[in-house]
Amino acid sequence: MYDAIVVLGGGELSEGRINEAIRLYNQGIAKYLIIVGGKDDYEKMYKKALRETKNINNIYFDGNSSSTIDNAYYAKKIIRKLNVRSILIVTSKFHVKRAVKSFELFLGNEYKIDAIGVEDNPDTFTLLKEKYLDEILYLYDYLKGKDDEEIKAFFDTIRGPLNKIIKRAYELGLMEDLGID
Amino acid sequence: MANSLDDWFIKPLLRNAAIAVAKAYRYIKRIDVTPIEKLKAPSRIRVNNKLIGLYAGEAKAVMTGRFINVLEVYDARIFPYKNAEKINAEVTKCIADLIHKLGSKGTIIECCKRMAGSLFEQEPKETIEEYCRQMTDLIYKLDGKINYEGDVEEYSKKTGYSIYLTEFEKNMKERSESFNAPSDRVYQLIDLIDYIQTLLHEYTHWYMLAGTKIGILISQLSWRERIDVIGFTGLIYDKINLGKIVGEQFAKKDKADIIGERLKEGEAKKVLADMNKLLDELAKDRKAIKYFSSILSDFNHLYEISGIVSVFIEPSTWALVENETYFHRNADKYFTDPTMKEYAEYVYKFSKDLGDYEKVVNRVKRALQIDLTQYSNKDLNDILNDMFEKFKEDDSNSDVLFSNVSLRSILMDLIIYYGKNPLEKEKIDIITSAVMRDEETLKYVLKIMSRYKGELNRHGLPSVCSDLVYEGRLIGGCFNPDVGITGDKPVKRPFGSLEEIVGNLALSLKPALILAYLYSLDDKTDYKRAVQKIAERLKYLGIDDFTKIAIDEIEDLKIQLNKEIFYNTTIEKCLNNDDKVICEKIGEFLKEFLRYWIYIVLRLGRVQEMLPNRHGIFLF
Repeated sequence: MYDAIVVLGGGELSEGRINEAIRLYNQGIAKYLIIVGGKDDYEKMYKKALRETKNINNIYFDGNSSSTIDNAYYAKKIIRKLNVRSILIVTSKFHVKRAVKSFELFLGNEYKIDAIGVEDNPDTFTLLKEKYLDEILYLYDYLKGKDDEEIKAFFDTIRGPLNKIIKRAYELGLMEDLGID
Repeated sequence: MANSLDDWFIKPLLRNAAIAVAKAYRYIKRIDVTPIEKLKAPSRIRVNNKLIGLYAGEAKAVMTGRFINVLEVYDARIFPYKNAEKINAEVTKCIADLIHKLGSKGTIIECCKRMAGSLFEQEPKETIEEYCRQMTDLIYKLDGKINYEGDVEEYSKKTGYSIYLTEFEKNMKERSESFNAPSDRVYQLIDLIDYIQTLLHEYTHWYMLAGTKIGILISQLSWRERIDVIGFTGLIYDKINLGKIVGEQFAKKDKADIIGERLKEGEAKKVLADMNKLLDELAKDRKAIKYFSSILSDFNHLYEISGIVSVFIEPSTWALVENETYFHRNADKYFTDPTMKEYAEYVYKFSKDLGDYEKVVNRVKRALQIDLTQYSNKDLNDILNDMFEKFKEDDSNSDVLFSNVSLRSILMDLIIYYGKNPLEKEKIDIITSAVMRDEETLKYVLKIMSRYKGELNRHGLPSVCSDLVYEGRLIGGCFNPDVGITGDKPVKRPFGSLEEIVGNLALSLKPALILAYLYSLDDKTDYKRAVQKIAERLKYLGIDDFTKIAIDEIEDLKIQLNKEIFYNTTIEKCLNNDDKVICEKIGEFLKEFLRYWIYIVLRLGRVQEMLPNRHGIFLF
């Protein structure tokens, strides 16, 4: 049992994730269903959850995210408000490691954080990018102790440049050379 | 420059570091480190417009955020190594291994014994040790006498050698009739001991600073300075593309890289005159002015901190490493401000009385633990007084604090800092573009981010750099994981110093700025001295007329540098408050500075990257 299921938006992968979250929520394994994603996920995820679940009063949505770090940052605001202490993150299987690390960064050790990964079919770039991002997750440890705004500021600053660099490396076929594929 | 983080040297270094820092320390948590933006520069540190690192023309080293660079160029032939790049590393390692056990003189003698083998191939080890002991004693005894007899700059080195040699020969002959070491070998022995002593002196400075709050602050500022330099150079080169203006034989078009031979005086002056309109435009460009103001602000902060630090690390080092007369010969030159001199005298006396290397170092470390960001409204005396109180505290029952704040966390803090201001954030974009432009750089950056997860505890890493001449080449050696260890391993990084991501032009910005500062002063003595220092180094790189370039030719250009612009209050008004009048003045100054910098670059060609370009505090 968990206090809340937290399902993360993921563009084209949102549908599989929300389906799994709805299934788990309907089984009654958590009191709350928290959906964090981008604006597009309002229709794809929130509306769908409202349609397909009974206990709609305990479903919460935030549509301000454009990254996993944003997911954790905005989910924390809802988690705090609801006094939730344990969460089950629902995301894609390939994304679990980084999602958990991101939530740990914001929530610290006082929360129980588990995750479940949905099998889906991300494209090659998404997978390679994720593998690279997993490789640099150790950087998160350097941000421990910083306040939430600073953590978000760090990722807001670095996200654009990092995405550009990874994309360029992918175009040049360098991701394979790095031995992380 | 060698690859910084994957060098096989790191592991042995860390082992040595463990020996060097065997004392129990308590770590500062990184959250205790105050963000640099909170630093309000103390106002009274600039004393008589002198740069501490250039107090009287006899500075042997410069100190930066993370390492100290010895300025004097030594002859590599005095060492028993074919691979001259390793000399600095070997000597620094020897010092780091021994200083805590043997003290200063003992360390010099032992390192001399280890390194002097090739000078006296026929002599047994015991004899070499005796030579080293005798000569070290003589240097400690006679240094004051020699230096008192005349201004060091004027005084002939050979005369100094002669005094040492006469005494040395006399002493040795008293011990053994068979003494017959040739004079030139003994001269080389003097050089060797001088080199070891210089490295020991600078190593001691570095060791005192390493891991302290002020040390971290310097590191933060030093890295910020590097990013600002990259941002400014990238921005300027967009407008003043020397590849397009002078030609691709001189500079690249797609990168701020100067690759060609220098221009002749007439050609350089013509190019400069032709770009007047471009310079006028830049002088009105808001972003260029802001970026330049950041550079000036970094310069000021580091300059002021160097003044504060010197009051503690200089006299204590003199007490530990130099002879009895050193303080009296140098105190007035270093500390022209009476308050600073007074505290320096206290520190010297205390250190002398304590005597023990470790105890003195730890007291200085404690003094350097104050948080300078808390002193925005206090004056220099308050800062020095608080530091001195810390220095005086009995340390018998207390741990010495030092930080394990890593380079990575410093850089991550800086990313947060740059992210707060859209204009500043663009500097990250400039670096990103530079990384993406070159495939090898891109590959390197991706790898370095993902693979090097281990903490490099920089505290124990000797990070003193020096240059030696070997077969007519100037060879640098450094022990610092961030900078790279120049050794016999091939360079793996596709660029040298970080600044070179945007192009090697970035490397001459800081030295040009320091020279411009000195040039802006009414009294040109320090400027001429700095030029002379640089000219001595550039001779080894085929430039034998730097003095003429930087003094006569620059004078012909009638460059007007307003020294008031260098003052913090002025810069902050533009940087933080967008004060239109002040920003315009900085714009005018920017134009004149660019004329200075670009002219020097045109006249030096690709050698411009060899100007002393370490980032951080103290230059030349």
